[in-house]
This record gives sequence, C-alpha cells and structure tokens, in this order.
Amino acid sequence: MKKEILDKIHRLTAKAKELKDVNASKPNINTVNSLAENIKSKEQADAFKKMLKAL
Amino acid sequence: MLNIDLNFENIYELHVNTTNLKSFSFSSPTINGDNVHIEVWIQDAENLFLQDFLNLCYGPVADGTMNDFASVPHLDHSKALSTVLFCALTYLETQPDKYIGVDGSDFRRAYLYYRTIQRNYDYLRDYFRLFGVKYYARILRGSDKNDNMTVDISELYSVPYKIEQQPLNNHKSLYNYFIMYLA
Repeated sequence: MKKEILDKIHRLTAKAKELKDVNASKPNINTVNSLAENIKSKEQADAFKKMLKAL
Repeated sequence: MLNIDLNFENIYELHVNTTNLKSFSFSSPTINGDNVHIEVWIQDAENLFLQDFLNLCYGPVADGTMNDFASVPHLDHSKALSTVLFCALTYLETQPDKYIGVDGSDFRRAYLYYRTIQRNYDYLRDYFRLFGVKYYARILRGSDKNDNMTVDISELYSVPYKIEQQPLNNHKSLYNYFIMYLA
C-alpha cells in the first residue's frame, strides 16, 4: 500500500481515537443487506463461510 | 454510461464520526452547483450468525434514516465512490479479520458496482480480495407431472464467488452482494 494512503488511514484512525465514546451504530431503516436477510441458520452461515474461505 | 476510476489518493475530505470507525461523512459537490452531505455507515449485520460480516451503506440522511436508493448527481462520481471505499479500507485496516459487504440495493447500483470492479480490477486487487454473492432458490416439482413448478423462496441458498476479471458481456447474471476482505 502506498505511504500516502496509509498515512491518510492513520490520520483518520487517530482522529477517531480523539472522539469521546461516540461508538453507537445509527439506525438503518432503509438500507438493504440481502446476505443477512437470506442466511437464517448457523448451518447456512457455516456453509457460506466455508465456501468463502475455500475461494 | 458512467465510468468510475477509483483513486484513493483523490478523495473528498472525510470526517470520522465514531471511535469505532463505523461512521464517516463527507461533502460531495453536485452538477447543480450545491453540495450534498453524504454519510457512510459500516454496520453490524442484524444476524447472529454473521458477526464477522458488516454492511457498508452510503447516501444522504434525513431524519436519521439513510436513503441508499438516492440518485445523487455527484459532480465527480469517481471521487465520491473512491471516498466511500476508502472508508471501508480504513475500517478493515483496523479490523483485518472482518468482511465488509456492499449490497446492490437495486439493479442499477449492482450493475454499477460490478462495472466499477471490472474497470478497476487491478487497482482494487492491491487492497481487497473481492467476492460476489448469488442467491439460489429451489424449484419444487410438485407431486404430479402436471403440477406447476413452484419456487421455494423460504430457503434461499447464498453462494460466494471470487470475482475475476472478465469482459462484461460474458456475464449473464449479476451478483447481488459484493464482499471486500483486506488483501
């Protein structure tokens, strides 16, 4: 990774650390996550992760 | 046709909003001469079995709700999308064991993401491993040969594929969901 890009990442990470306990996830009513919606059991999730790791 | 050229060295000024690097914002100039405030959220999947898989969404926010179906007339789409993806890169640099997914919330966006991945394949490969997900449903034959075939939509099967660089015209079906993992 280029140094300029890594420096940008480090600057953002440092800024995040300066924030005080602002950690909450925001509500997300209208967004889509079809993967989360379609995997409905531990077996399905394990099978999916196994396939992904094999790629 | 929109052609996106990704470049993490040419992004809008990003504001990080949370200590856990899951919320960012930036201002994107539009062709109308104004600026749109864009938020980028990286969210835990609301799924007990997918704790390592986070969802990235972006768009304008009104009343606390993100509209990721919004069609924003960005002045520079390449810069805007580079900025969004830079958020994912920043998060994954601190959480390298996580996966970040992007949903093509409609056909237009899914196609745009796929075209963008193909156009920027070599560039992206330096930063991410990229996977696409397709969903399959069983077709039920019925008990009699004259029964109409029905689709079992109660059990969709999710299958990941490694995204390879291929001409777009070789693809007959799109991925619905794109997964990024740190290279």
